[in-house]
Amino acid sequence: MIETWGHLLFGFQVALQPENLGLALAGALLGTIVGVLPGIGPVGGIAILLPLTFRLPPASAMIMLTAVYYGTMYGGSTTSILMNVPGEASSVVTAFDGYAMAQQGRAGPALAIAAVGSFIAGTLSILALTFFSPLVANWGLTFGPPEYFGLMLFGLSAVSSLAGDSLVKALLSMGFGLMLATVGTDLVTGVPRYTFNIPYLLDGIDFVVVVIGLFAISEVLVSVEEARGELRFPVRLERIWLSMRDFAESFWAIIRGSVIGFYIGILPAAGATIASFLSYSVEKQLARDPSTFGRGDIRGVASPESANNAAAVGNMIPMLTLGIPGSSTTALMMGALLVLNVFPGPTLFQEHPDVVWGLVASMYVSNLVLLILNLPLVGLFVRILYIPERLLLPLILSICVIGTYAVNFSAFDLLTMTVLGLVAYVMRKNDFPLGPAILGLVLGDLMEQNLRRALIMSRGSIAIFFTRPVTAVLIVLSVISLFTPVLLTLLRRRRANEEHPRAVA
Amino acid sequence: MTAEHGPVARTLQRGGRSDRFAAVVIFLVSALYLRYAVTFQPRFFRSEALGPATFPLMIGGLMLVCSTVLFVQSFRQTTAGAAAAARWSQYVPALLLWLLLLAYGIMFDLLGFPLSTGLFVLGALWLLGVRPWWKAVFYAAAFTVAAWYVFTTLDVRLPRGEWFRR
Repeated sequence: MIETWGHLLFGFQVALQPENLGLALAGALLGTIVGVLPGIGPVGGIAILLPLTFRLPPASAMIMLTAVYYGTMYGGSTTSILMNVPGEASSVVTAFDGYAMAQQGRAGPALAIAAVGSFIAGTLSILALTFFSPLVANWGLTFGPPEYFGLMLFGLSAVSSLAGDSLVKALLSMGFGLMLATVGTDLVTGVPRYTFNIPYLLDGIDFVVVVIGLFAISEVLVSVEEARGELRFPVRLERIWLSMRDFAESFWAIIRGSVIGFYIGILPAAGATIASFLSYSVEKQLARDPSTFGRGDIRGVASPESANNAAAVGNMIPMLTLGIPGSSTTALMMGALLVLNVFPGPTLFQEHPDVVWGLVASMYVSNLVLLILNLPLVGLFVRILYIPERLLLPLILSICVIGTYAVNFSAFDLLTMTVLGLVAYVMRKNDFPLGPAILGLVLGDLMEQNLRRALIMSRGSIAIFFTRPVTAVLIVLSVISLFTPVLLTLLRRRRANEEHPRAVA
Repeated sequence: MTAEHGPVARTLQRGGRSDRFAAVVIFLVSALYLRYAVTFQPRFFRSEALGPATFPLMIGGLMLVCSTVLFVQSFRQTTAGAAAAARWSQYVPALLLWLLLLAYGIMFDLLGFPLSTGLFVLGALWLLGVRPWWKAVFYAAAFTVAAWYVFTTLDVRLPRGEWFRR
């Protein structure tokens, strides 16, 4: 216990260095802008900003990326409340009551409770993470290659089973990511794979190039279709304020949202989106008069906003302690760490305590920075919405090109990025989820290495995956998780019939 | 298939058709992927439990199975998850923008950052319907100058291009 406080204190020493504090501020600002901007979502936004972090030491890079991530979440809920345009899936629920409140002229309290709720949830779940993650990491230290292979298999199958409507498409997307991961020289035997005698490919395709192509370029191309008209929103915004009554009314919703969000966040694949939906429906069921939900109930904003923030923190636990990202965003962060030669996993806590605890402490700091930034500046951020999308899209594309070029100063990378952008555009258009692809890309190499090591341990017998208890459980879980989408669709269909928040309004 | 089907049925069918097309393409790509995987041989004989080909073979196999399932599913597609019917004309602006981006990437080293970026942004703005022309020129020039300044300050080495080299 005392040891953990010591770690955390050390983390604050890292996070509060002027340079890192400045990066957190810059990241939070950039993230909020990206979150508000039309035509580019949080994952694409983080992807574009990745090259900026390469010259930084790992701890500073992670601090900046976390701040960006937090910023996009804040920005996303802002557009959700003011315009009924959720910037990301996890703030869809916020729009139900948030937009209703805005229409009633209560945009101020809605934005304020979103910020305050996120802040409280963030702080609570970071506290939980601080004490929880060393335990998981210690447990993880007992894992060998077979366990890691099992974990990765479980992570991949869980994410695929929950991404999008079609399991087959999710699996194909995952396979696409794994295929990309196999390009380059094989680390064990030195055999070049899928390099087609192109020297650029010997080192494999750079992570950043793939991510910018898959997420940023394709996102811009998708928004082209809607970008033709002049975008004008009737945004009315008065003072951002929160009365004691509003706060008292939503206090328990925030606490419940935080707890639900945190635990959901830890589970692989079940990230911020599910957490926000779940906490919203819990809140609605607990309410004395559920009919106020969907008509501008402040608890309907407080609860999902707290939950998605808490889930974002919970999501970090499997990534940092075991090296298994549970979402596109954490996969992106893990990819960034791998680029910086930092390997997430139980040993991270010993080898790079500055990264882990600096990151944890910087989450507190980012939360505070965003609260301070957002309450007075939200009016300014909203102005960004008035910029027509068609002016922004070419600029975003150009920044993608510059960012990709900056990785290796190679025109070949630009070509790769552009081609992958088209592939991802076609995938999006045909309902192939991109999350599994990015997870496959990040985990592909590690999975192959662990599979190899496991088979070396067992002298080639695959029985090793079924005789070690943890591995066997994980493999069974992977199989089960592949069958859950069928069950979930049935459940969702039933729930959709029972409650339809949008239909009430 | 015939005109008797309502618009909804046609939508679903077109969704099914694009899935079927995707399934065939993925199947072919995966087959090629597998074809290459078979050729991976370690340079020396080793007693490795897992050669360089094994993992790719597993992925390729998964892709073949899944694309076959997608192909079969596309024939009895009734869910709302089917891709919305889209006319080709709907994709044209995005594809034109993509071609412009491709040209930008190819010319980036040759023309240098300022010229290629200016031209790309101008072309893209025009494509997205920014009028009158001087507005587009102004935005393109302003962005190019600003980006050059910001990124060189950030220590990003941007190509000046052959034409700007002394």
